[in-house]
Amino acid sequence: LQNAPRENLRLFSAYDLTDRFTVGGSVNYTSTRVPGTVVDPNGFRQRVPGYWTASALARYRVANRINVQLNVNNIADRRYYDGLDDNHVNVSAGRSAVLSVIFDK
Amino acid sequence: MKNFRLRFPAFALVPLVVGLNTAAAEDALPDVPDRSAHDSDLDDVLITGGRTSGLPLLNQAVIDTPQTVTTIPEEVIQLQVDTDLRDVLRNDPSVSAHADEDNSQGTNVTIRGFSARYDMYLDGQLDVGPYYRDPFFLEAVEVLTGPSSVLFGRGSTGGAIEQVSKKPQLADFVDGTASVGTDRLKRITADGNVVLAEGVAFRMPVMAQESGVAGRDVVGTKRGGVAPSLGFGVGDAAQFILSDLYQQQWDKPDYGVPWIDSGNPKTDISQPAQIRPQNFYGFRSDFSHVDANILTAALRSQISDGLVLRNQLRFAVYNQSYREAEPGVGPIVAPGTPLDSVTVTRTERGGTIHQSVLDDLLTFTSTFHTFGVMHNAVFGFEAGRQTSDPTVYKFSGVPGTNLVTPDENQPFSGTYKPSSMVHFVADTEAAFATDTVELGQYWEINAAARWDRFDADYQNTVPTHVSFQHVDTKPSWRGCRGFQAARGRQCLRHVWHVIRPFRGRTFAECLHGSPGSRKQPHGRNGPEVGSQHAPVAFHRAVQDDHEQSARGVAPQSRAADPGRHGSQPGRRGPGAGLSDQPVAGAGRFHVPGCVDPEFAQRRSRLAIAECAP
Repeated sequence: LQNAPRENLRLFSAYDLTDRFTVGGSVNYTSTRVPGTVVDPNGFRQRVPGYWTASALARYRVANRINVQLNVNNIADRRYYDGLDDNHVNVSAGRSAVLSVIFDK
Repeated sequence: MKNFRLRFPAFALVPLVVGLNTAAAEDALPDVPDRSAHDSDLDDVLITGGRTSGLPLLNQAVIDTPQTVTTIPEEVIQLQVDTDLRDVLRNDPSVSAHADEDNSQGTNVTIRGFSARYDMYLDGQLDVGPYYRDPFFLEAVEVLTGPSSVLFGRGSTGGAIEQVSKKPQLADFVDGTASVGTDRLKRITADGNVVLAEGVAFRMPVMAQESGVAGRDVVGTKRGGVAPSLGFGVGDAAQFILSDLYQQQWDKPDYGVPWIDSGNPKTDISQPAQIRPQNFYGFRSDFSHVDANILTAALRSQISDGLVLRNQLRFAVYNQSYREAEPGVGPIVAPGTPLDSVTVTRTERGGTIHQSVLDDLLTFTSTFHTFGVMHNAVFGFEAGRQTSDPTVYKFSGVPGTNLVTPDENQPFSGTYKPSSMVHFVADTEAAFATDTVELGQYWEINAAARWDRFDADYQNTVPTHVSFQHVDTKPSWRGCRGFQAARGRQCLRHVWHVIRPFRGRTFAECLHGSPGSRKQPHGRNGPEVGSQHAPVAFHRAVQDDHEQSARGVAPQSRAADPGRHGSQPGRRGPGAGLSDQPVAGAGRFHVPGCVDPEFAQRRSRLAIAECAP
């Protein structure tokens, strides 16, 4: 089946360690996928390998209504194949980090 | 601000989980303790049961809905700092990313292996535009897996995506997030709500962003959006909300890397080129520019005790212009060939597309008793007109580049001429009805039917005039019975038996000017058995306020008859057929969908996990 991995796992969770401090993260696994159900013009079957990735986040409430949050995505800088098309393949984003200041309601 | 939470619990209670909510929301909500007693601002993410989808035909609590529905709430979107709907959708394992192709940039995903490009909805009405949707104005995202033609009258086999927008509230507030990150990421979002008068409120989420992509040369995005909404009679028996979404974006689209065929097709597999993953094969001048403007007027009126009228009128306009290069290596590469001797062909694609959707959705929701039996009925009508005017260019003389050391700084050269110039109009009319009947303590019967007329008119003037006209008149239906085995502690166990036909996509391709690829709608029937339950055993753990451990448990499972969908060979085995029901659970205490007032006050987070077979 095109673009449907046989196994796909997604776990995301976050926890309040204290009233101010929150940590979280995710683990993802996607197994082998194919971009199409037919062979390419040269008669080849196309396939991309599966992958594991992980992400993490930490949030700290520095003051009432003000939080600072750090997210790190794709911690292991795993380069996998993400969006599939039978003519080209998107390479996944590598490791990235985002620092946010969140002003709550 | 905390008072707001108290006064408007429905707003503070981010509806967490889906698919497994208890049906007891109405019972549970009043019992939810005073959450303002908590210090953390995150504490108000609580497990609430009985969330109903915003879709008109799904007036039952999600756990009572005979379909797999996953909700990803705003809180999770914020914790993950998701900047694109595609990242939000990664929380549902039945969704896979699809690359942009040809002239279809934007939120391209597949659900269970079927493209969901034309199965995108915003507040229950079609949102077809080719843009990268940003979740800044969304309160929640729902993924409805499985055929949904009875809900929408169209749609592919895999499922549909519903975006639930932020609506005006009866409270003054403002919040916002400013982010900086690697790869030039700069993003700011803000959301403000002000009560202008008794029952009159104005809300406006805004967003601006500029960023590249980690580990990818050249590609990146700049975008901005506003989503103002003005509500009259907010919370009253008669409520009117006028809302708009305006988003504009300038992207350097990513067309990735080419496939390489090496060796013998009988024994070898085609793989993406094993090169430096940063490689960008297009030109620096490649671009995609899209603006989307979606204006919606929604009226809800409680006509009498048991009858609610809703009418929603939408006019949406999307404009896109683009030019990008798709890399390809045509011939078979002999094993052992040095990669730096391989030339990549740039298939340049470009065009302009103007699309519009005009749609009106009228529904009546009614609850009544007959012969001692409780009915929950919805019926309604929908009528609309969709247009699409793509002009697609064919390029020639575009230079190739080296596989290992592509030159993105090479100036673009080549000639182009229109390869198709399409004018497409589709008129749609539909009537639908559904009724849910409770039979005693354990059984529920639900039936839904929809009738659609789809009248499509296609004209292509380039290179030669081609036109065709097609009218489809199709019924869709779904029936199910639900068995509620236990209702202990407000948890439910349901087993559904669903029979529903589904239709393939209708004239989706026509919308993008590929005259050769029109597909006929088709239908197929199949039974599906599913169950939804929440793990009663975890209630104990929930009582422990100091419980810290994550539970990657599956509080819900839903198995489908593997014999269904012969066209889906990807999954096998008993109970495995379509059992990619994501498991969504509240993190720390992790009893999603089970509302227990005692632990509803605990600090909670969301976890979403799933093991498809």
